[in-house]
Amino acid sequence: MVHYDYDYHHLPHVKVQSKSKKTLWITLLLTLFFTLIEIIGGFISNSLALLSDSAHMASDVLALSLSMIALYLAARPPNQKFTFGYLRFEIISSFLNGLSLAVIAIGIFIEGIRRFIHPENIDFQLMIIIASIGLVVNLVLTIVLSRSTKEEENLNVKSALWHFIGDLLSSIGVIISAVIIYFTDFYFFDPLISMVIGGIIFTGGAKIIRESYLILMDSVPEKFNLDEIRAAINKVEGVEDVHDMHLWAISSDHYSLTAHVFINENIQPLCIILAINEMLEKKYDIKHATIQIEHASLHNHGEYGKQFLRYKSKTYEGEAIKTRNKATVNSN
Amino acid sequence: MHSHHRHHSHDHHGHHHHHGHHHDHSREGNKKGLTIALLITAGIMLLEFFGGLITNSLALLSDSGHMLSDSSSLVLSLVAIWFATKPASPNKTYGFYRFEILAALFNGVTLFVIAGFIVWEAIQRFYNPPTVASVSMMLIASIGLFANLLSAWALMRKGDVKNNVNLRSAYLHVIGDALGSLGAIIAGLVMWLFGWYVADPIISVLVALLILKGAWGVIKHTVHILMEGTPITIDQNEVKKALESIEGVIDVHDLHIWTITSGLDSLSCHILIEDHQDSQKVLQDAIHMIEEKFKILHTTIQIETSKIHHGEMKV
Repeated sequence: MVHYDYDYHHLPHVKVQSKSKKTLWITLLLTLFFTLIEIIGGFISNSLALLSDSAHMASDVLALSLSMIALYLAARPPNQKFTFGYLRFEIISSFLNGLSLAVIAIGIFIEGIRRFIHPENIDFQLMIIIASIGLVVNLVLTIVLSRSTKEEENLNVKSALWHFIGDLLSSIGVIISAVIIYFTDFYFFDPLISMVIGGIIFTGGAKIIRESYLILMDSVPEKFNLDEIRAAINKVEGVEDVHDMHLWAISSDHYSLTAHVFINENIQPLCIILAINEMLEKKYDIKHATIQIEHASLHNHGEYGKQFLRYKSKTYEGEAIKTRNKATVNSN
Repeated sequence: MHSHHRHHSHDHHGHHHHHGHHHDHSREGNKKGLTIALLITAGIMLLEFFGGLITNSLALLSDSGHMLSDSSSLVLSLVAIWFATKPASPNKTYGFYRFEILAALFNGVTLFVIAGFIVWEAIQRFYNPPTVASVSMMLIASIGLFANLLSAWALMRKGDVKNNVNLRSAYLHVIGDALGSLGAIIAGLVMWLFGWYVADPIISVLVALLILKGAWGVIKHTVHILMEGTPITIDQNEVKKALESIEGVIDVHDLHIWTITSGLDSLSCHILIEDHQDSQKVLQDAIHMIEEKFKILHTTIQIETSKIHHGEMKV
């Protein structure tokens, strides 16, 4: 358990992921190793294709490093500057990784279109050699990473994984198109396949962007229905109205809720806070909540407060009329 | 700064009640400034593109590529402002303000990438400086400089360049462009006078460094906001002390202060009070103090007494 010198928190905003950390280190080192091999091989064989592929691998190293930084930051306790801890950096890292995936995909797509218009002669032997190396490397890395995401659900690692899935697909695509072109002379297969791969990478990137975008926008997590939770709070005894309610995700599976409630002035506010907190935690697994208890007659809520009081007095009147009516019926 | 006032929707039964904030006034100016800047930038982009084709100058062509990225970032900033005016919804309880910050982050990252490309291109050119039609290059670059200064002026005059990150990043883009054009003019002059064609890549690297500096600032600022860090202008300790000085307050914990978007902060905390104190009075005092002293209008405070404090919370 982590202790805080400066502030007490009901929920530590910290996540320690030893498994993901280990796999990320392994993949990072492997990728670095293969990048170096490609650079050296490129210089020895004087192959531009190998060199440019090593540049691509370097971009993977960058993506992995970003995810790695995020992983380490996530384990840091919150401080005065970052009161919610550093968990959010994972989401920012995923967002950037997703963006770069989308950009890479668009680049592949445009290159495909260009090659459709101006078909290029390709050195098949070299192409197949490089693609096969890439295939093996990326296959290993993808398996290592995807195993870890299965054990610890993590958008950050997932976004790094997609870089390798994209590379793996490209390698497979290159090999398939090289074989097809070798046997059939259908040169348009090369751009066609790269465009399909561009499309697949783009959907992967778009998914990650969407997920991280929703979190960074402080929107209500998709697994929650705000109106339902509002109704649940409203049902707690003594609660008369819920407003100014916010529910958002600090990071994946790490939620925060704030709400203001008008309460019946005759009921102990503390009991209500307790009841609400307990309900939120039991029913929705929301552990970080701040509930502001208000008395409608005391707090200035402008037109809203007036409406509330008017509405309230009306319903009381209504009930009074009802009981009166009942009384008259009974007397009859 | 214009005054904030609480704004309340009249929809009681729907419960979509919020302590909203008005930002319409400065936003309108920002929009105008951005639109003018966009028109100018897009115009110069086309001019430099065709100018580059006609004079066979790669420098102008790549500068027009730079302008293309600027135009897209300006469009993004405009979209962001439009998004921010959309009201909060059941899914976006804080509204769409945040989109502005994300747009700024995107701009900052793009600037980083652009600077990287310029350096990369410059290294290649350094070894093999191509011949450039310097006179036409200077002429077109001068038009570019003039236009960029014009749009920088439009942004500064109409919008809030100092405090709005989004506007600020757009402004930095335009300034970067102006410097790029200026560099192109100087490089053209040197090439025209002395035939030193390496001047072109050297100037480009200097410009790239300037762009990097701006980009770093924007990224740092946006990441801070997206991490929901305490606003730089507010000292969390000071807020804590101020809250604890309120009569009847024993302890303040779980204190969070963060920024929704530039100029719009939010606070939540738990306050432990003495058992005999009136919780509503302490709450009122705290809300007013925070509003007056720290200008935070969106607060949620949970008042606790020893009866419930920490009893329930097993971390």
